[in-house]
Amino acid sequence: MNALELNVESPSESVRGIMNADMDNGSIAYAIGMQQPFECLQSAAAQLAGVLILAATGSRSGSPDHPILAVAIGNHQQAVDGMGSVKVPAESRHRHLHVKRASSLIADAILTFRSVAARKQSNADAALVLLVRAWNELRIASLSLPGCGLVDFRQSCCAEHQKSIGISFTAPAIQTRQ
Amino acid sequence: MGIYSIWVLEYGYTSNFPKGVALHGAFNENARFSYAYVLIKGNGVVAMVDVGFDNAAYGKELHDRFGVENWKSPHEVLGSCGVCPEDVTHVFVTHAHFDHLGASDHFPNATFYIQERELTKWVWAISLDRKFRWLTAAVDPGDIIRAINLAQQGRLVCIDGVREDVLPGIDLYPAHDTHTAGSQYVQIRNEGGHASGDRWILAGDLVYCFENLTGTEEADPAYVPIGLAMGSQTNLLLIADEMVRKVGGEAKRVIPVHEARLKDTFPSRLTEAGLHITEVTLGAGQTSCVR
Repeated sequence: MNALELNVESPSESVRGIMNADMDNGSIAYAIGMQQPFECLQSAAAQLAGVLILAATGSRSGSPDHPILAVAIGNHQQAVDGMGSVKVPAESRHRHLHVKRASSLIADAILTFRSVAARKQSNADAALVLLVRAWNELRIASLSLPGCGLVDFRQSCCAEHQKSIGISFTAPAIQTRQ
Repeated sequence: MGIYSIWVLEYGYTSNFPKGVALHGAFNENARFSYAYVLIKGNGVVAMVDVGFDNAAYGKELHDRFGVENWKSPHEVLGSCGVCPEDVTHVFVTHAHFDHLGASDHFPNATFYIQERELTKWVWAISLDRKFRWLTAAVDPGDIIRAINLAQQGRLVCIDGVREDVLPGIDLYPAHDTHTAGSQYVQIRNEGGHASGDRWILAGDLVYCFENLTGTEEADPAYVPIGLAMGSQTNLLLIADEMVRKVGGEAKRVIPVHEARLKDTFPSRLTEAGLHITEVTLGAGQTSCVR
């Protein structure tokens, strides 16, 4: 039995998938620990995107006062808290760097959109630029983090569901240069 | 002959798709499932219904985990009909799932038309507790981010309900609370006028396969919903009936783009890339892409 399994009662399908991943044990533990923070960041980014699309399409509800921004801020804080409690092994430092960058950019994007001066279009544009960068960082991180997908395909129309069960994951090599 | 040519262009497929997703109740059956979009050409216009997904974003995951095979780029797929993505000026987005909206970046000159409700209800859904995440499955927030860019460039048009003659003879109809909260379908009146008898409907994911419109017993026709409704399956049946009525009861004129057997119903050909082009109808003075 995998030693990690002893610490996880009734692991979910995605955790089982991570445990089958072709990674060292430290990185597997890291990936399991990062699932929740990653998902919170993904949600925060999506929620900010939601307000920005409303703003961009002229909806009056697409303002910095939209209540979903408070949800996004809550998600972001949860992500920060979660990331702080995860041990980052040397093998996963680079992955973590991308997630940290995403976190920082999401915080900046929300702040930019909500700032007092944000009641003008230029700040929505600036928030979008930051959000695009954040999403790209999440995308890069997701490529090598099993269990941290940006889109949940499991219940989508494309899913050949049988194949998703018991899948193993081979983390691609990550470039260490920026 | 009508004004517009209509081609259904396969850009990928999965060979072993669980049919219960396409046809409610078809458990333990499998079938080929096409990923396709629609090219509409005529009257000096190049338009599309949906644009597929972008393999760069999640192609590997779709291939490895869900068996999606042989994805080809819009450039290659449209090229087999002598069209470039840059030629496309109008894209009618049936709904915001990744495999319908994901490749928007490939169409730099197109304006995208979507039901406003598809966006506002997505925003609502992502504000809910994560236990409701099924409601946002298959929507890529990355696509929404790209849509913000489109809106800022004036290339995203949000529609509230019916929009007739978005192009001459082409209408958009809402199908709210069906497959998704803000789905829509496209009607082509191919003789232009409102009395046109030559009508086609491009159904998006309101219909996945022929049996959604006919049932499984030829002698006893019935509407059977798709297996994936974020809204209501009752609404899906009512919309199926609405679409069939619009084409004078001729179910064959309601086009399900994911239906792999479409190629056997209309003239078609297999491209060198191993993908099917189905010619639903050929407009006046235009050249066939399948002969």
